[in-house]
Amino acid sequence: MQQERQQATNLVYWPVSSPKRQSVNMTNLQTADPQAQCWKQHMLAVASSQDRAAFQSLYLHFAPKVKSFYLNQGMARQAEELTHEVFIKIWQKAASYNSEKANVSTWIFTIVRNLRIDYLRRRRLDEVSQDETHDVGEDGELDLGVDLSRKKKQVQQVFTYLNEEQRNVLQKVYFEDKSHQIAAAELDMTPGVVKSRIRSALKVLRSHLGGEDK
Amino acid sequence: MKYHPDIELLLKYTSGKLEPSLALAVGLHHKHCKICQERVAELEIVGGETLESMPTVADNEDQIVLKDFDKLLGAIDQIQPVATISEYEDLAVAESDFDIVDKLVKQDFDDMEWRRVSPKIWKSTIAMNDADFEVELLKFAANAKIPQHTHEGDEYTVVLQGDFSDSQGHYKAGSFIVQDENDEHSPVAGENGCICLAITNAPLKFTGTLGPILNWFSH
Repeated sequence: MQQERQQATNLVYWPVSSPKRQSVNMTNLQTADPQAQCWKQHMLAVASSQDRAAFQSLYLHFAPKVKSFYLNQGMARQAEELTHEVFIKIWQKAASYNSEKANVSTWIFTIVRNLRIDYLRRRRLDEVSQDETHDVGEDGELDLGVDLSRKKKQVQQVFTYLNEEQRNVLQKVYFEDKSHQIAAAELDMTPGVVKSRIRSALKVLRSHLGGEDK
Repeated sequence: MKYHPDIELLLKYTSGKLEPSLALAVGLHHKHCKICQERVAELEIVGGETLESMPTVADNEDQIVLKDFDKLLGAIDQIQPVATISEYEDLAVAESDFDIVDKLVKQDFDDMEWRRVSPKIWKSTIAMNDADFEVELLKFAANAKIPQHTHEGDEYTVVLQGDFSDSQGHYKAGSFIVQDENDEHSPVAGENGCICLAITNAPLKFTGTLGPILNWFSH
C-alpha cells in the first residue's frame, strides 16, 4: 500500500519535463497543450457570443475542480457558494480573458483565488479582532476530498528547473494550503524533509527568477 | 526598479496567503513593477496547474453538476451580462481594498489625516482592520533625515512618491523593501521628499539620541 501510494504520487503529480530549460516563452508552451487549446476556444465562444453550450462544457470540467480546490483549503462550508460565484464571474468577465496571456485554468485560478481572498477579508472584517484562526483548522475534513492519483499533466514550463519533489512540496504547501505535516504524510516524507525541500526549491527559484536585486 | 519582494513572499501573495496588509504592500508593488508582473504570471500558472490537478467529477455525480449548472444559468439571467472590470483586477488583493489601493496608486494623499511626529516627518494611519499589522503612510520633507532606528519584528516599505536612501541603497517610487530587527538604519529622503507605505508587525524603535522623545511622539 505504502509502495503503491508513493508510486502514484511520484508518477503523476507533476509533469515530467526536460531538465534543460529553454527560454521561458510561456505563450508557446501554453498553446502546445491541445486540451488547454480547446478550453481557450470555449472561453472565446463565451466571450464573443455568450455561448451557453461552451459555458456548460467549461462548467462540467472546471466546477468540480474549483469545488475540490476550496474543499482542500479548509472551506467545506463555503465551497459550493464560492464555486457558484466563480462561474458568475467567469461569465461576466469572459471578455477580459486574454488567451495570449494565460491558459483558461490559470485565469480561472486567479478568480478562484481572489474570491477566496474576498471571502476571508469579509470574514475578518466581520469578526473584528475576534479569534480568527477557527475555520482554517478544518483540515481533517477537507483532505478526504483529495484524490491522490492525479491526472498526468502536460509539460509545464515555469518550474522546469525544480525537481519533482521540490515541485510537489511547493504545490502542496503554497497552493493547496497543506500544513507541513499533512504535506509530509501525503508525500511520504518527514516534515523535516518537507521543510528542506521548500528551502531548496525557493533557493532554485530565487536564482532563476531572481528574488533579490542584482 | 531595483527592489522587489522575495520569491517566497511572491508565492504567498500569488497563492492568496498573505495577510491583507502585506497583500496591499505587495499588490502596490505588483501594480508598478513589470518584472514582478511576469513573476506573478509565472507563479499563477502553478495555481492553474494545481486547479487542473483536482479530481474531476465521478460519473454518477454528473446529474448533480448539471443541476447546479441550471441553477447557475438561472442566476446569470438575472444579472448584468458584463461586469465592469477594475484596473486592479489582476492584483491578489481583496476587492474591498481596491479603494485604498486606488488612493495610493493615484497618490491621492491630500485628504489623509497627517500627524506631525517631528518637524520633517508626518504619519497617517490606514485602517486596514488587520490585527497582525499596523499600516501607516510616512511623509518626509525634502532631505529629511530619519532618525536612526531599528524595528521590532519586520517592516515592509513601499515607496509611493519621491525617493530615499540609506547605507544599503537608493529607493525610488515602487521599490519594495523589507527590514527586520537586525537592520539599523538612518534613511535620508530625496530632494522632493518622500511618501512611503510602511507596514510593521511591531512599532519602530528610534535608537539615536533623540530616540526616547521620538518614540514617545510616534505612539
